[in-house]
Amino acid sequence: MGRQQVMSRCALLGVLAAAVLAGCGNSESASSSSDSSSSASDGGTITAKLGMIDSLTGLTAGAGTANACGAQVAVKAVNAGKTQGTDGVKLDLSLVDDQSTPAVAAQDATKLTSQGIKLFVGGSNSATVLAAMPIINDAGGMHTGGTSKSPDFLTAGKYVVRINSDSAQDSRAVADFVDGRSPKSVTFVAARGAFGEGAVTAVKADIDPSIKAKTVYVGETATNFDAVITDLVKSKPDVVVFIFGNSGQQVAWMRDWQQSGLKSTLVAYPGNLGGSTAEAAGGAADGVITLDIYAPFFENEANTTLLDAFKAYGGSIGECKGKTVDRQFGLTYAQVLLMAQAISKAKSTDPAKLRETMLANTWSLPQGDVKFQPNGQVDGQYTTFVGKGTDLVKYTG
Amino acid sequence: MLGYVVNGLAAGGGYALAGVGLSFTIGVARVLNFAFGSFYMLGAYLVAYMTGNAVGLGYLLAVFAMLAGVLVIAYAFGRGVVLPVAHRSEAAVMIATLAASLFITNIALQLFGSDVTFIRSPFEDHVYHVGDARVSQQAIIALIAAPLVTVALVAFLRHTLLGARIRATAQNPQLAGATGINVSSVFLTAVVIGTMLAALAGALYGPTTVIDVFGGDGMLLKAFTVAALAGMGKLWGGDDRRRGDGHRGERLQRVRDALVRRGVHLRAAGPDAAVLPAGRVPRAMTPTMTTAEPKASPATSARPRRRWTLAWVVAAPTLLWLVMLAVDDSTSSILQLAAVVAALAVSFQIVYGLLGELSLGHAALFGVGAYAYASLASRHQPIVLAVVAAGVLGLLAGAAVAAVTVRLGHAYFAVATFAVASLGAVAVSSSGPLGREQGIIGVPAFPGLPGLSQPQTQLIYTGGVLLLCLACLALFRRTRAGLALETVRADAALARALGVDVALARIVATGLSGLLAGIVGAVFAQQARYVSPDVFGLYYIVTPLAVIVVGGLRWTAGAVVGAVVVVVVPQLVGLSPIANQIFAAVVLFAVVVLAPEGVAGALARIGRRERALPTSLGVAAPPDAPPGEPGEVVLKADGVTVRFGALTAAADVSLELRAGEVLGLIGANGAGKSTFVNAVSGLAPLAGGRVWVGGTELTKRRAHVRVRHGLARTFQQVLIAEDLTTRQNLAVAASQGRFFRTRASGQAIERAAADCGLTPLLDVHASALSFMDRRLLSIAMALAPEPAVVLLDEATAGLSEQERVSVRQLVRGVAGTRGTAFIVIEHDVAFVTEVSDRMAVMNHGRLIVEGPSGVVLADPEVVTSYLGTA
Repeated sequence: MGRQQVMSRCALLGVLAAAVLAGCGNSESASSSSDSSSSASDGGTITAKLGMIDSLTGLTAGAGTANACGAQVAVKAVNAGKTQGTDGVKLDLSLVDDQSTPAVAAQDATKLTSQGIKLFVGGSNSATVLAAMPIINDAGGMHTGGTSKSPDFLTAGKYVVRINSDSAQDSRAVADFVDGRSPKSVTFVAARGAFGEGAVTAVKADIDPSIKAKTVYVGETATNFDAVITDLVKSKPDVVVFIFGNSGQQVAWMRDWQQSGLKSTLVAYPGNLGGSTAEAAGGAADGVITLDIYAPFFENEANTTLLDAFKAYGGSIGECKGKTVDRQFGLTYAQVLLMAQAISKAKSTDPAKLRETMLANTWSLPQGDVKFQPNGQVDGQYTTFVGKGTDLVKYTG
Repeated sequence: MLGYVVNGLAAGGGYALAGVGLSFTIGVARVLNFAFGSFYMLGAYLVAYMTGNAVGLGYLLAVFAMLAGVLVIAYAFGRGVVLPVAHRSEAAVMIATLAASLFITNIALQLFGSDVTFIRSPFEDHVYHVGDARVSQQAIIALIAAPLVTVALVAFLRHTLLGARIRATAQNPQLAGATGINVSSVFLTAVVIGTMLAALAGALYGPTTVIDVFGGDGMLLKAFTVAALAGMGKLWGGDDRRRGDGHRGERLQRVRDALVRRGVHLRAAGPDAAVLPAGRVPRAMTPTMTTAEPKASPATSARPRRRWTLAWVVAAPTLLWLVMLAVDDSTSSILQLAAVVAALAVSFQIVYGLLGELSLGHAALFGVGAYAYASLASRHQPIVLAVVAAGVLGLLAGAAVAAVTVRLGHAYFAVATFAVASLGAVAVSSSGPLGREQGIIGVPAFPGLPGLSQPQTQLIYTGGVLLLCLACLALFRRTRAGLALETVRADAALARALGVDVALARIVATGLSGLLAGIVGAVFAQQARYVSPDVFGLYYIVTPLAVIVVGGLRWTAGAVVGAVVVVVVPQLVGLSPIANQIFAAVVLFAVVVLAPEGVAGALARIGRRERALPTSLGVAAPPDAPPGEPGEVVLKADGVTVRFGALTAAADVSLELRAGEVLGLIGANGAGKSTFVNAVSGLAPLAGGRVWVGGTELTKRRAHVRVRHGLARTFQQVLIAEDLTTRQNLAVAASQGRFFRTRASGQAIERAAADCGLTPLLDVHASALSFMDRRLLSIAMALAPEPAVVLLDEATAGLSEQERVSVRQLVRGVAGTRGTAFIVIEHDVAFVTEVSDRMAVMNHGRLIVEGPSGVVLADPEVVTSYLGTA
């Protein structure tokens, strides 16, 4: 047999193998593809299918697994009837790994939408969420934004709402806080890139123009800040605001800061200091101030249920191993709870109706009573926290 | 300023230490260890764990305990992962270590979780202030460790026996093996030392920062940069700085000369055996080794079968259509990604599979295409225009990359192309019109197809681009340009000696590859509806590489099979995400080890039926044609001088050769014969002198141009393109390496084959030929372009007496009947005397005597320097 023949037959075999594999997949999932996004059972219970595309492996697995933990705990709590405002709703969560890769996220979106899933929660970074959005949008689906803060998210689909704060809200909150301290000088230490640079520009635009502002950018993956600290030792600003995109940088920065002995007020941009970050910093977050829309110590009924649910179900969920309740967990839990509450109120899983219902009502979620703006963005209500040891507590000035 | 310098140095300590380890592994074992970062991470995590509350060891004790533990793991890694593939291509080693990295990282993810942590070290709490800068003791320790380790390694290499063995292996593994050094053991030692240094870097540098299970990836890149700046292992003896064409022989010559100067006794028998102490036979260099068993490639006829081609033209689209109808949308999503990855892998195959250059920047060409399409289509430009622009920009980008990296050696080419991909990501991340880091959202899809759903339509488009790429590869590899690329992959010096413009070959291959990658990028962008800087990233660098290594680098269908294994199968096994990654790592490694030719090659081997090879007919040229009247001067070398540093390998050598004349060139090893031939043929740079062929001065012309002026040559070792058939080898030679020659050279092929008795073997793969037939093929390749002058460099080495007679008849016959002039370099004085009209003798780079054999052999200086006293 000649080489060409061998190659030809080999290729033929490959294609046929793919066809056979594909055929197997066909028989397996034929029923699911004909499903709609929900089904009604006796007694009027709506079972809604939720899709979640998140990073369970790869570079952003830390955030992704926290999100996955939050979503799964929430589904269990809703299905067990422990949550408020979710009567008559059962949830069926399909969780898939995007490997921290946008291309895989897009493929996951095609896979889940083809199974009739139209309601999506989760997503731990803007790139993967935005990669999935066109496909979800084409399928007429709805998304609650995961923990993405990208301004592009709200225009990436027809049926979107975002429960997380966006960059503009965060920047305004930080600017208000800085103004309230009446400093003479402020230095922003930020990671290069759209997120860091965008946030610095926005905060600078909002703060009192009489405050002398300076910015020091570092690489997106830099975890050694000695040179920045050297700069700050010389300039001695009254307030330092740090803005990083990943927890590794946040923890490394706080540790270097702690060693420096600098006395400036250190402010973490929203999302830069959560419960797990404070714990990982091993005490280096002590005295660091931040503002955010959620913290585990919030006192409201929905958050109490969340904490109870985590205790009850967290141990049985693989993604919850080694996790604590933090903003990633809380905000993803809240997305699932919001979906369930909206379905219960609208008596429908239709994305258009759900979005309309969400925008028209106030929702009792772990971060408090929540309303949405007409564009789908949550009205963020910020609380100021401060690190105390390895915990976060409410800042009292 | 002092503060910044101090901080910079302190931060650089960890990178430097890791860079030393990676550089050592590359320099000695030529292993580009992708698991290097994982060992950095492992070292850091183990120390963090042992200094944590669970164990509570002191920092220093934890570091030593970690090193003991990692020693065991590193040994297992070297033995179980690296050595089984060390003899294979660099890509196979990379994929094996990549699989190990995937395995280690996901095991760590399972054990340690994904949250960041840090190492408790008392040295990190002690901070010194130098000017405005603050430096911890720990940073100083990491900083000092790098030069200390370097000095220790250098001392170890210079003053220990094992160090000497390592250096010898780094210089030339084959020769090291031949002198009795256990090369595998040296490789293992290098891998273990390098790996331990990675873990040590993690333990020493880790406390100054934070660690997480994916932190090793960043350190790998930094160590890679350090290693590249340090010369990719040059410190340890490795040398891959420049492209190898023609320089391999020079390096060997330099080694020989250096050894000769140091009084090492050399054997005169084999070409490369020259560097060996007397009595030691280099197994790897003997003819029996060169006549190695036929490779796994098909042993018999490989004549293109038109009916199969036609069958595929009809069958492939039909199959695609059937698959599209058969699968549900969910499976379709998996197949779409697999098709895109496979198509990208096919475009990559042109550079790596045909040309043999490992590009780590192929994703950049894909990214250029994706962004070009997304940018234009989003601005409401016609879809067709956007696709064409994607392809054209990919082509231009590929050609530009090849043009600027044309003189770089393999490892440097890989590094340079990787840098191109990184720069591409930075460029698009900084570009406002391209959406910066967010990329471009809502990229318009191709138009829907009537009666088909969106997933079905996309499967047709992605499958279609895969078929397009496969067809291009299948057709291109049969063209003259495709065959020429194969000779470049076989050996750049061989390619040049056949007339192939290697620089142009690289540009053509990378450009074509870029064209296809750009189109694939466009199809991907419209399918994903979104592009981001991620398209320049590691996923699109590593996945196509894994796909073609697993599927089969040399097989057109390899990418399809590889994509099924790498992309489709892991999606169908239904394990948890981490288990899925571990499974993928195991599959990847198993395929690389168990199926060296890839799954496609293994499948082909199963279905292959061995047939008896036809035998050659023997030399058919007129036997011992009598010397005719000398013709005009066809070769003139005047004052040819070649220097390697302080060593003058050829000094002021002048020769003339007339049409139909056979000149025997003899001399001891290191006399400068091959250097002279290299200089004349353009493979060694001239320090002085001039060269004419057929009255045209070629002194400043490149090697492939000299071929086209009628100068052909063979090499000491049999250099042929093993993956081509005899006919294809001759076709490249007959067309003088031109890519687009239109004049049929079939007659020249038939004539050269007939002269050398290879007619029955025309459609046999070169790898299946006997040693004698390979030797004859190399001579036939020199004769095929019907040159005026042929330089035969030890063409009878390793042949039997009878075979030598055949070669002598061939040379005399061709010289007598066609007027071809020959310079015959030989050690066998009797053979040279019989075959040549005139003889010349070189010694220490000088031409000491020239004339009729009787006169030359009686010359006292020849007797003293070469023949020995009677």
